[in-house]
Parts: sequence; structure tokens; C-alpha cells
Amino acid sequence: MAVTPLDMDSLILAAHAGKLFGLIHRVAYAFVTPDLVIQRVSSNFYSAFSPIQEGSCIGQPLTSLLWELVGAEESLQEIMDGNLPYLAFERVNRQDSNGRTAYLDLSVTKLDSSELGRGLLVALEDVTYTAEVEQRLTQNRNELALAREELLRANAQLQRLNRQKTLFLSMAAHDLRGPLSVIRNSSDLIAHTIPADTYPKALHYLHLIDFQTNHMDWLIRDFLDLDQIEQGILTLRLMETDLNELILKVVDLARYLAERRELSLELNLTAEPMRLEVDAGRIQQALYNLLNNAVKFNRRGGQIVIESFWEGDTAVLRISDNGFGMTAEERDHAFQLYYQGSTKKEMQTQGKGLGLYIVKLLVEVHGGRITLESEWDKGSRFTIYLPRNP
Amino acid sequence: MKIVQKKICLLGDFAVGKTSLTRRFVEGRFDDKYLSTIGVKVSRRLIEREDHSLNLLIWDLVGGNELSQRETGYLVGAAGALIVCDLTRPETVETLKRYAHHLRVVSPAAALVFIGNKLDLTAERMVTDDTLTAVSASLQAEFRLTSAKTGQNVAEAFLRLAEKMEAS
Repeated sequence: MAVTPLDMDSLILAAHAGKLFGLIHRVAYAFVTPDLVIQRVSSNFYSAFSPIQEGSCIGQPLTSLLWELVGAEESLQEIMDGNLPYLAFERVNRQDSNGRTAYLDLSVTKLDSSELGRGLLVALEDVTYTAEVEQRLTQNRNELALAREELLRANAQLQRLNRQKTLFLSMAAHDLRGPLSVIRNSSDLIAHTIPADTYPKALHYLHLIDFQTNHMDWLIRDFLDLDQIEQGILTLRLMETDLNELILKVVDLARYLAERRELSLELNLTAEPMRLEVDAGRIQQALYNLLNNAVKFNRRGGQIVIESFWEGDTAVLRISDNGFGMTAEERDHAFQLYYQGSTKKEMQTQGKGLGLYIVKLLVEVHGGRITLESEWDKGSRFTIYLPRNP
Repeated sequence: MKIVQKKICLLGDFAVGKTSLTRRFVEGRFDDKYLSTIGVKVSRRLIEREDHSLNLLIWDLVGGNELSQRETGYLVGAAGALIVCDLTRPETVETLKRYAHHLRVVSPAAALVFIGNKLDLTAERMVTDDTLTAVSASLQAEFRLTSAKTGQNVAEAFLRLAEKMEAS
């Protein structure tokens, strides 16, 4: 908006309007000669510059009182010459006599009146009330932005650390595979060459070695998969596979431990072919993790039921147990990476909180989903749904 | 002795330490509490030169990502500026050029010194000298590393700007 010079009549009108609307006490005025010397001021002008004495600023250079106008002399001259309508600085901070910050809006425009002559009119409006609100809003906004920046940095740092940790686990897992393979091959060799009438305890220990090396192999696969999943480079080797055959292989692997804990394994598999295009190794790994959990978190003499059936075009694989089950909180976090429920801790099963996380991801990369029903002290039921056409 | 008055502005993102630098230079003290500035606070410090006194009018401006029309108006008549970034926040370096551009549009002859502040936070520092060298070289300016908290290089940065203003 362009501001045109005011005459004295207009000023008087403005003063009346300001008084009637209750505004006048917030605005102080000064009249300044063309050489920027203060000639007249309104009575409230001094309060804006407390603690100066009344009358002490008359005859003083404008910039000695309003040093905010230092450097703006050229602009003030342009206002005098009519080339610039006005100059305004908003929210000028000033300390009052109590050390409190006051905020002033400062405006300068040309004044040409018969009473005062030609010069500049300086207006100072006290906007402390609204500026304080503005300050609090700005403070809150900035503090939020700083907190956000801090969180983003912390998150980036965590991601870097997580990546390093996964890389370390992956390297360790790779290194473990070599010796593990030697142990397994040696144990296989012994198993195939040992006479049938060998001392039964020796056969028992051979089974134990076989079981534990297989178990360790699955753990290593989990770690390696975790690394690939986190990097987004997990590749599936899809081929038509009979899911029931996978179930039987996994049951065979877990049977030794189940028998040791006197658990019954009941199979209830559909007679229909369960052929789907999947990565057999990954699905077997997922089933093994679920079955291994059902064995670990069960009581001696407990029961595990493994089912397979079709629901329309979806293959359903289900593993149920009547073991310890989960609390509501454990159930809510069961698929979370590195989550370990109190049940696991109590039982000292040395779970890593990795298996179920991997299962869920492996099922999802096949376009499937997994559900969990569980009740504390009654057991758990995991159901995998794999669509025929993901 | 003759007194010369010069207006200088402190520019930069919020919370980079503009108010703290001004307070350290003018009052010789530091306050850890962060209080956002709105509008402008003009402080004064008289420094002695060889044959005259120089009254620096230091405009501590509101910090933010964009200068509004109101804030650009504060730059009128500035003979120089310190444009400040926070050495622990790389994102505050990205805005240095934008502030320099605003200044050059309003006051083309203004002298310029960049400041990397919070030098005392050694372990958290994320902005390198090389980054600041590249930014300042692209604008034919120079930079100083400061700590408003310890006072390190603060007066030196202001005095360097004063020298540049008087030389131009």
C-alpha cells in the first residue's frame, strides 16, 4: 500500500480515531526536520525510550535515539524527496528499564504541514503483546524443528550401526558354514560306515550331532537371509514344489528333538496335491522355524499338530501346539526383530528373536501372509497362507 | 576523534547462535538457554581503529529458512554481514548462499564473512573446513570458525568484517 504525506488535519483526525478506538496509547510520534533532527514528539514518546527525560531528545539527531535508522539515511532522504513512500522496520526489539524486551514497529514517512513545516513523521507502535505470542510460537516451532533434526540424525546413526551389526553377523555366519559342513560330512560318513550293532549310546550321540548341525545350519540361513532382506537383495529360486513334501522333510528334521521331549507330532495333510511355485529352501526354513518353536515352547508330553489344506486358491499350512502360549503383549510383538518375550527368558531357550521375524518376511516375499493365535498357558497356532498366483 | 557508524547484519538459520555471537561480542557473556529471536535486535559496540572510532550497529535478525519481505527490509543500508551456520547441523550450511544472495540484492556492496559457529562441540561437529571453503570461495568471501560459548574467534570475526567494510 502506498502511503501519501499527511497534513495536520489528517493527523488530528487520526489522533481522535486512535483515542476513540483505544489505540493511541500504543503509538508514539516524532517530527523530524529534513536534516534528521528531532523537533517535536508526542507526550508518550519518552516512555518508549525510558529512562530518558522528557524534552531531552529535542534537538538531538534522530539516529542518536533510534539507532536502528543508522545506515538508512539514504532511504530517509528518498522519502523526503518523494521517491520513496515510507520506511518500516517491524518487531524492533528494545529492552525496557526492567530488562524486559519490548517490541516496536517503526515507520517513517514524509510530513508537510503548515504548522510544523516539511520533515519526516516517525511512528513507533508498541506491539509487544502480539509479538510475545509470535515469539512463543516461533520458539515452539524452532524447538520442534531442532528435535526433529536430532531424531533424524539419531535414526541415521542407528541405521548405520544396525547395518554394521548385520554385516558382522553375516560375515560370522559365512565363516561358520565351512567348519559346520566338515562336521556334518564327517558325522554322515561315520553314520554310513558304523556297524549296525554299534553301542547304542554312540548312535544316540551321532543323532545328536546330526540334529544340532542341522539346527545350526538353519540358524546360519536365518542370519544370512536377514542380511539380504535388510539390503533388499533377497532373491527367490522359484520352482514348482509339493508343500506336503516340504512339511515331511521338516518334520523329519525336528522329530529327533520332539521324541527326546516326548512330544507327539500329528500330521493332518491334505490328500490333494499341494503344488505351488515357491522357493523350497525358504519355505522349508520358515516351516522349520515354526516347528522348532512349537517344540521348544512346549511341555514334556505335549502335542504338535501340522496341517495343510486348500482355501480356494490359497494353500494353508498350520502348526499348532498346546504348549506355553504367549501373553497378549508377547503376541503383539512376536514378529518383531530381536523381540524376546518373558516366557522365552524364563525358559532360557536362548532364542534370538530372529526366527519369527524371518518367517514373516519369507512368507511375505512369496506374496503370502502369516497369522498367529495364542493364549498364555494354552498354546499357539501359526497359519501360513500362500496364494497360488501371488 | 571521528566516529564512523556502520550497520552490520547477522544472518543464518534459527538456532545457529547469532544472538549468542552478538551477546558475546557486545556484552562479553554467554547464555546456554535458547531463545528464538523475532524481528530484530540492534546492539552497538564501539571499536577503536587507528585514526577513528567505529560504531558497529549489529542487527541480530530472526533466523528462518526463508527471509520474508519484512526481514529483507532489515538489510537496507547494511555495510556488511556475518552469515552464520552451525557446525553440528549440515543443513544450516545449505542456506548460507541464499542469505548471501538476499544481502547482495538489497546491499550489493556489503562486505561478507561466513561463520561456522559452535566450534566447542568438537565431538558433534559435522561440517568440515572444506565445505565452508567451497561455499565462501564461490561467493568471493572468507570464513571463520567461532565458539560463542568460549568466545573463540568471535571478536576476530567481527573485526575482520570491520576491516573488509572499511577497505571497500
